Amino acid sequence: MKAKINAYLKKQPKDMSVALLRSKLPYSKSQVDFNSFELHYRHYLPKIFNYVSYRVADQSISEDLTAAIFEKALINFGAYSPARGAFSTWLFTIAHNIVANHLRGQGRQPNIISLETLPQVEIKGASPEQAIIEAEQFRRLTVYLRQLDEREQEVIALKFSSELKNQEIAQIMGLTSNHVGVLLHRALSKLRQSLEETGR
Amino acid sequence: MSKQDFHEISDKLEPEDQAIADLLRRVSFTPSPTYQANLWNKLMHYQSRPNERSTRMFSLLSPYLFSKAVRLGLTAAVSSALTVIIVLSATLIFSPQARAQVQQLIARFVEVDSPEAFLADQIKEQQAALEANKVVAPTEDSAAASKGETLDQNSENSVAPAPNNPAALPTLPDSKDSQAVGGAGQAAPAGVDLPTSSNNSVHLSDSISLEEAQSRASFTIHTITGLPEGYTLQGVVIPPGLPNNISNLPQPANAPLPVAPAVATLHYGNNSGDVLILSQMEMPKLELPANSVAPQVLLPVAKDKGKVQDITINGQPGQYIEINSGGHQLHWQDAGGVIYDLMSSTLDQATLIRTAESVK
Repeated sequence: MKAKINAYLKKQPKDMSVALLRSKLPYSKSQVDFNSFELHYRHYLPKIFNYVSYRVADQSISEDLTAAIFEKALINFGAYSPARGAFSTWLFTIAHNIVANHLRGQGRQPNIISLETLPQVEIKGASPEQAIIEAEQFRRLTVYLRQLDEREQEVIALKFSSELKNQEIAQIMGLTSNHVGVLLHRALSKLRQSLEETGR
Repeated sequence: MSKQDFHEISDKLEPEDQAIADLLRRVSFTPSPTYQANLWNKLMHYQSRPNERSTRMFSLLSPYLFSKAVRLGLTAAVSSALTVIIVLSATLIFSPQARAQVQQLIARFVEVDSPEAFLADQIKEQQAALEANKVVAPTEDSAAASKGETLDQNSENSVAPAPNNPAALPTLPDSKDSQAVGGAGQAAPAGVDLPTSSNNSVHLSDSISLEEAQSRASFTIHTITGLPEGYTLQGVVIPPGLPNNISNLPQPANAPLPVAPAVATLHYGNNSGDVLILSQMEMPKLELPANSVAPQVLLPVAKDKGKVQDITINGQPGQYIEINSGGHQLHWQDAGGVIYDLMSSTLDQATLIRTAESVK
């Protein structure tokens, strides 16, 4: 593990953050822990941001919530143990709770969202023309997501933002994997119908 | 994600859902590179300052702790107070001694509304006590006579009504200057106090004018019309009770209870300091039973106290008493039933008799 971390660090740019980290080692014991955390951070930041954007559909809010998620993860990183489960499950559980608290504090979520405030969309494996079309469809799907109930939105966000398995989603949401499958099918059916009604 | 995982996910979807699933998988929200760098710097800064982090956490936690401590303290205080109240209540209920002590403690702190109110209450209590001790003449005849002559049991001259035993005559306390009067060869009857020569229990300082005395008295006050030369009336005293020299009149058996007589004492004197005292007592009319002995008005005098001579004053029987310790006394009763005593320290027998005969 230590060799992998050092190899990873050697590949990283020698920016001030790394230098600062190496110059200020508050805890010699946690140096490896912090390096490990950085790995996780680098890997899960896009997924977490994607998941949060699915749920709140606002770039500024998504950034704030993402920062809060990783800050809490950093604070509690010493308490994480691989024997208790996958890191993704642990991290997305934190994300699920923070987003739920945010949405609960906001009250009822409006069904209408502003497309201008949506975060930046990235299309993989498509031509430029196809990417524009699919990006537009995706934005429309984001709007239709607001018509789904809370748990259906959560399942969609966890499934397609982080590529989590149904069992992991079930652990995060406190459901069974079969129930997650039912919710997923129901949500996708509704989205499909919405797209068919408005025309692709 | 590996290709195997992807197929695993997509295999679990319905065929009609695959298209949308594929779309959702190809499109994603991405954070900007600037945001990624800034966030990492923020996390590093937080990690590099553990003291700040702990302080921050404490500052976030302290209000909670403080409020919790306050809640605990208030709860403990209320519980303690309730416990004390319950214990005290139980003690008061089951312990009479404790109740008495509490009552005393409360009484100490009961304040009078004002000093004036306190004094007024004290005065009322004293007046009520005086009223309770006063003795008023029970009959109509003596009611007017007792006007202004209310007997007070607490005074020196108080005369208590005789009990049911008529033979138990009321007696007056002897003053310091009292002198026993006794006749030669005569012994004082048993149970009878010898009368004194003067009303020593009353003083000239208590005297009033003749006009005022007449207004108070319920009888006609007789005065000496033929005073010896140089003598003048100095004052009239109405004693509250019987004069000492008329305190022990023998009463017949079965006689009605004696009532307070109407008494007046006139004080005369001259520039030389000689004194002439005239006491007069109007006895109430007694209803004597049949075959009873009329009350004797003559005074019994002991042999060793003085010499007694029977005389007549205006045709009425009387006594001339020469007191061994000095002075002369005349004792008689006129035709109207008024008993007189005339005492002098210097006048001779003839002058005294002549003066007594001028009483009208």
